[in-house]
Amino acid sequence: MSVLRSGYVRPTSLGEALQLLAQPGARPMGGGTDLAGLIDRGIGQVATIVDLQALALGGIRGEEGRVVIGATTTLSDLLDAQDMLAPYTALLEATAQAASPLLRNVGTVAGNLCQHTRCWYYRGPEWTCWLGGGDTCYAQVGDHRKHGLQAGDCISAHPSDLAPALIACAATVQLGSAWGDRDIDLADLYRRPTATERSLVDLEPGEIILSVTLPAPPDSSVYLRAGERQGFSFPLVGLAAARHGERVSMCAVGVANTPHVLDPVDPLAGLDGHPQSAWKRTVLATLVERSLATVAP
Amino acid sequence: MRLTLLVNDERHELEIAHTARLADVLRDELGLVGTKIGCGEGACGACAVLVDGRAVNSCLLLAAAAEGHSVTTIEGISRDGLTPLQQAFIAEDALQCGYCTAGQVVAATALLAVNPSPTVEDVRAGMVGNLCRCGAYPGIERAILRLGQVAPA
Ligand SMILES: Cc1cc2nc3c(=O)[nH]c(=O)nc-3n(C[C@H](O)[C@H](O)[C@H](O)COP(=O)(O)OP(=O)(O)OC[C@H]3O[C@@H](n4cnc5c(N)ncnc54)[C@H](O)[C@@H]3O)c2cc1C
Ligand code: SF4
Ligand code: FES
Ligand code: FES
Repeated sequence: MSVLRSGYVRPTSLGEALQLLAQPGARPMGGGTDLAGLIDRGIGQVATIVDLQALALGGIRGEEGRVVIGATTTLSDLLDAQDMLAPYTALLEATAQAASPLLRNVGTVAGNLCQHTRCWYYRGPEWTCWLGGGDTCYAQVGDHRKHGLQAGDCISAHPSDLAPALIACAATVQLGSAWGDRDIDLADLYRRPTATERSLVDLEPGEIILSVTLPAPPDSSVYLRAGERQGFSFPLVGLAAARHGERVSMCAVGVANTPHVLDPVDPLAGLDGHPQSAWKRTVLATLVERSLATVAP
Repeated sequence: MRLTLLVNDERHELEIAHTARLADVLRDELGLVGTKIGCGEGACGACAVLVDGRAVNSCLLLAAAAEGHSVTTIEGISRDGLTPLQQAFIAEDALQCGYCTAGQVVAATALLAVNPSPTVEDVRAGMVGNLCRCGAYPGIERAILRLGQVAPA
């Protein structure tokens, strides 16, 4: 068995990587574009960085009507695979609007899905907020202009553009750990943090994403978002809609601490808003209307 | 930790902290101060360098993760003197204080390598990760487009 020696390891086989990740304090790293910021701000324990770049987990392949995207595929790789991903319009639209070309060249799909919230209290080194393991959600008593609309212990806004697009397209994720593999709906990767589990993703310690699988494409799909600028800004509200026959799936970010699947009958249900964030309701309602018009037959 | 970095085609043996960023290593260990650090968090592009030909934010990239790859800084790009793109920056007045310029040139070099004749939209989308506090954007855009026009069709 491999033993953790230094603070950075780059295993070359998946078996070795999973053994390393099973040890306390080990953290997987894709491109590190989010992890670097977390390390700088002392968020979470990162005793050893397990760099996944040499595991051949990258790449996109078509299989029997499905598309399998390896965990370490970069966002730029997705945009370079326009032909294969064309039937999943929402995913290409979401990826093209995520971050910048410089970040997309390094940022991986799994890292994007597992990125932490941009909440300025969470990221601020001077606070340990509720999500970070403390007692107080500073956003609720302080500045929450860009936060979510749901009630709860943590009102942060999920920042990933890719997650809603993949969830609307009914993606599943393949997870691996030293104890075995499992396959779950991407929507179930996320869970609202609880008093005992202050994280947004439902991964076991040492468990990583190996790949994301897209089933047969929807009949039509779209990703719309509102940001502070047209280019290079986190989504304030992002909404993916995908039509499978008569049924439309919608998933939004920027409105809850995890990607939020909308009820087609009452899309704003459960999203009442907070004093400074309630404006997002109007934005979300507009994006819902526009996206439904776009995916309609 | 000990590592070997290939920067501008030269091999360097280094002893660094495992969380050290490529930007800091380039500047502080290798003296390649052409690479600038603006925000230190991926938001401005001043720290752009090429890794295997692709432009990345060196302020976020762990130096350790760059081992085994080929890093090119602005010093490497202009090793044989100012490139036509850099000359176009001068001709089009594409800078004021110059702090963002190395990053702009690195990002534009990568853009032109894959898309030698970009449209205005291509340039805007491709350069969105590089901010300029002085607002030299119109000149930067013209400089890149000027290169595109002289590129062989
Ligand atoms: C300035 C800036 C602007 C940005 N704008 C946007 C935006 O507009 N839209 C958007 O969607 N994103 C945006 N991002 C986020 C960016 O897309 C992510 O940082 C990037 O995709 C993360 O990928 P990575 O491989 O670098 O992740 P890493 O930093 O390597 O990892 C992020 C997290 O995921 C975990 N992780 C990594 N790989 C795995 C795996 N295989 N299994 C389980 N866990 C894993 C890590 O442990 C870490 O906690 C922005 C980031 C920055 C810095
Ligand atoms: S919104 Fe969540 S992340 Fe932000 S301060 Fe509150 S608990 Fe912390
Ligand atoms: S210094 Fe790296 S992006 Fe600003
Ligand atoms: S020239 Fe001053 S920041 Fe761009």
